Amino acid sequence: MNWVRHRLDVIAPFGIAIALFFITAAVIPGYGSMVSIRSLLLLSSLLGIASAGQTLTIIMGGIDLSVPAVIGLACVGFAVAFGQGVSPWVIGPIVIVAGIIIGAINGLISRALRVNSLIVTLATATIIYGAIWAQTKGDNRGSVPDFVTDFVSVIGWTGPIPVPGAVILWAFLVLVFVILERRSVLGRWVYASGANPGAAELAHIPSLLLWTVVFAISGGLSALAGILLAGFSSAANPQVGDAYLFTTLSAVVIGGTPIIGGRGGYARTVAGCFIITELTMLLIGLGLDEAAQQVSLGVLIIVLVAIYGRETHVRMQI
Amino acid sequence: MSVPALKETPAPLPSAAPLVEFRGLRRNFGETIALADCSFEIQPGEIHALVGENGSGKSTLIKILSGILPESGGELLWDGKVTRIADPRTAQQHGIATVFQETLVLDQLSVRDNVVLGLDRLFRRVHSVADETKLVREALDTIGMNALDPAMPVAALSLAQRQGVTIARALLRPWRLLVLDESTSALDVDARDRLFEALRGFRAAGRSILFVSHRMDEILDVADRSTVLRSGRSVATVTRAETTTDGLLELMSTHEEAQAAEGAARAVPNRALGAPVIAAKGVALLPETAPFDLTVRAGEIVGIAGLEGHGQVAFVEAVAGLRRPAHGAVETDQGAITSFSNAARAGIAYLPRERKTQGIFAPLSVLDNLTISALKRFAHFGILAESRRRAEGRRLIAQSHVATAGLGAPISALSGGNQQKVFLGRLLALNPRALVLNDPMRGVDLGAKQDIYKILEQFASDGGAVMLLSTELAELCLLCDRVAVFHNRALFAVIERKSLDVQALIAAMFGQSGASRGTA
Repeated sequence: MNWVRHRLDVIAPFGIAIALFFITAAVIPGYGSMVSIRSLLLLSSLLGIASAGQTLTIIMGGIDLSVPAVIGLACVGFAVAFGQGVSPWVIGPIVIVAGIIIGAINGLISRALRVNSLIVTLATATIIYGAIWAQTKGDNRGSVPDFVTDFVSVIGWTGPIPVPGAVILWAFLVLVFVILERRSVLGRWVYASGANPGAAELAHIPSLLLWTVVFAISGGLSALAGILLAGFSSAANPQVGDAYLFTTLSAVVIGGTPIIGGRGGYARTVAGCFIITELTMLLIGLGLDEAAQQVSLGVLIIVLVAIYGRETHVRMQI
Repeated sequence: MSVPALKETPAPLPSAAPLVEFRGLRRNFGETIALADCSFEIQPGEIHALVGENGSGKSTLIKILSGILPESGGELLWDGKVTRIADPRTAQQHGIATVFQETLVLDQLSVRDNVVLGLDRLFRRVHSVADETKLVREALDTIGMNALDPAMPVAALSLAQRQGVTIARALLRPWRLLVLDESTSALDVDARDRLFEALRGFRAAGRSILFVSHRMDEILDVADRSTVLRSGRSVATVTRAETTTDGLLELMSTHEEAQAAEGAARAVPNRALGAPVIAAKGVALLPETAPFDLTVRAGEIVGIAGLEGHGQVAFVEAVAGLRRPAHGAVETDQGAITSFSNAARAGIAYLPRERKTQGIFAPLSVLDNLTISALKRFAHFGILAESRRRAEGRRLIAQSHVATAGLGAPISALSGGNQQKVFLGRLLALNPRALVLNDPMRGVDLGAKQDIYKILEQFASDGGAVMLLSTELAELCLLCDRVAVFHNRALFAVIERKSLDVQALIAAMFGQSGASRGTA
């Protein structure tokens, strides 16, 4: 049992994710059905794709508050342009590249000027929201191609697999991220940078390049999430990503990646995404409103942080 | 010497009972046993030294005594009564004041606020600013740092001065037992002597001091008795009369070869010297200081010495490309060094002074810490070839004599000495032509020091150039072909191997002529 106590911080998120599933299945009739499992997977995958870049920036010692703004920009840009007749194969890549560029600028400015990325990304988020408004004047008429809608449809199939494409895409992304974190030069640099920024410079880690690339990844994935959410809501909505500021950060923290960086990983965030989605579904199933959901999520974060906080304190080390 | 104290110092008990007594004290962290069996006592009015290698349990014992860690077993007696020191506040109430190894200061606050930290209440000062300033001045005066302006921000202070601030803070507590955990390591000679003088004064007043140091000369100088810890056990307590360097080393050393190497004079190095690797030409550290030349050749170990703040650190940082000299340049065969990355390209690997903040990545594995600077060598399109990286990791561990449970263990699980060896291994992974080391033995245990000596000698024998800044003079005498001594922010003398001894170094550090003045 000693082993369990020592690894509690690792076991907790995955254990809670699994336990929540069975609790919900027991409490809510029909939750164990295929449709409900598929919607759990789909909603988790949308959150998971939006949280992937966030996880990396936090491990590196940064934070990306521009995630919801980039999601909104991508959603509006994609749907409005498609509504005006632009090919999705043209506007899709443009939107993602725009996300990458915004992210790169976030990272570049944060690092070059040594400004906390919290402030820089908050500023870019404000600029993006303003720019969307200036461009559309609130007129967000647009539409989304069917294949995108199918890609994020609860009843969608991917070839012979009974889940929509977004879930398969997410599974692929998880694989890529876990390899990236553990087996790549970039991944090791991200952890080192977050663990000790002062030492990172002296260890010849190219911090400026690293921050630019990692924030660019976050921007690109946020834009991708924005296109998928456009498909999910079938409309151009600049506010579509707003909930994702709190939920991406929650997914990272609930998974057990400390907000100060240097530890954790995307696999943990995956557990965090499932927990948040399951909890939301459970509470909706119980007939609770959004306010009650938020309260529950907040309580859960505090409980989990208390568990993770049991990790050996620096002063307790020999 | 005034003894500053805010409240009345609790009077020592008239009895000859020990102030504090440890009986079979134990502490383990999971399976790791940090303190196995520690028993000794400290008398009122005694300066008691605690000696042992890093990882022998000194810090753990001090943390228990200071209320930071609970003991896992055994007893602690305070004034003859079994006592549990549950938290730092309890320690303070008993009259235990601890100065930790790390210089715990708040950069943004002034010297005064740092010294009185913890004395004030949450919403009001206990003393007026003027009174506080006076107290702070008195406390700083005790360690000869009265020139320090109490209003100055701590961020502007040198390491030695920061250390002074933490000592002054402890002195202001109403203490009966002052615990100094390697807190003299950063002090310059003058401040240290003043502090020792003050300690003797406290002893005469019946107060006790528990003193941890890696410096034998300090222990021989001030300690009434010394307790030796080895692998978490108190192996002996010796009185002043019985204390000798060799005796203590023998007691604390777990491997015989260490004391053999320390005791026996080393053979004069017989390394073939090659072409110059680092050449300082007409370097002046400040516009008004004297320019000098200094060359380090392949196969040579050149020591750098000086009293704290006499320019030797600035020079070493200039060689590493971290700062530019006011005049002249440090050159390699790739041209002048202008930046840190440019120095690295010329084959210069730099070891900074602060292992914790500038060196290791605590949550990362030993393997990551060894290879983080050389990752690209093991990568295909950014993906690491783990088997090759692990093979290199094993090679570096062997080369750096690191004792670790495995490559995957977090580096924070290693002792300070082993962490430092991993850090050196990271530099060796770069296959450098020159190692530039800023006080690599600071806070490193004796066994690890011996290993580091071996690493450096091997590196030089293989044709590498070493520039070694050290505050431990005996070590410079042991290792170096020549030692460049800095005084008043300029090179004062270069002492060659044949005339190299501690006295010559000290004389030059104090700017005494008679040391062979010259450049090379």
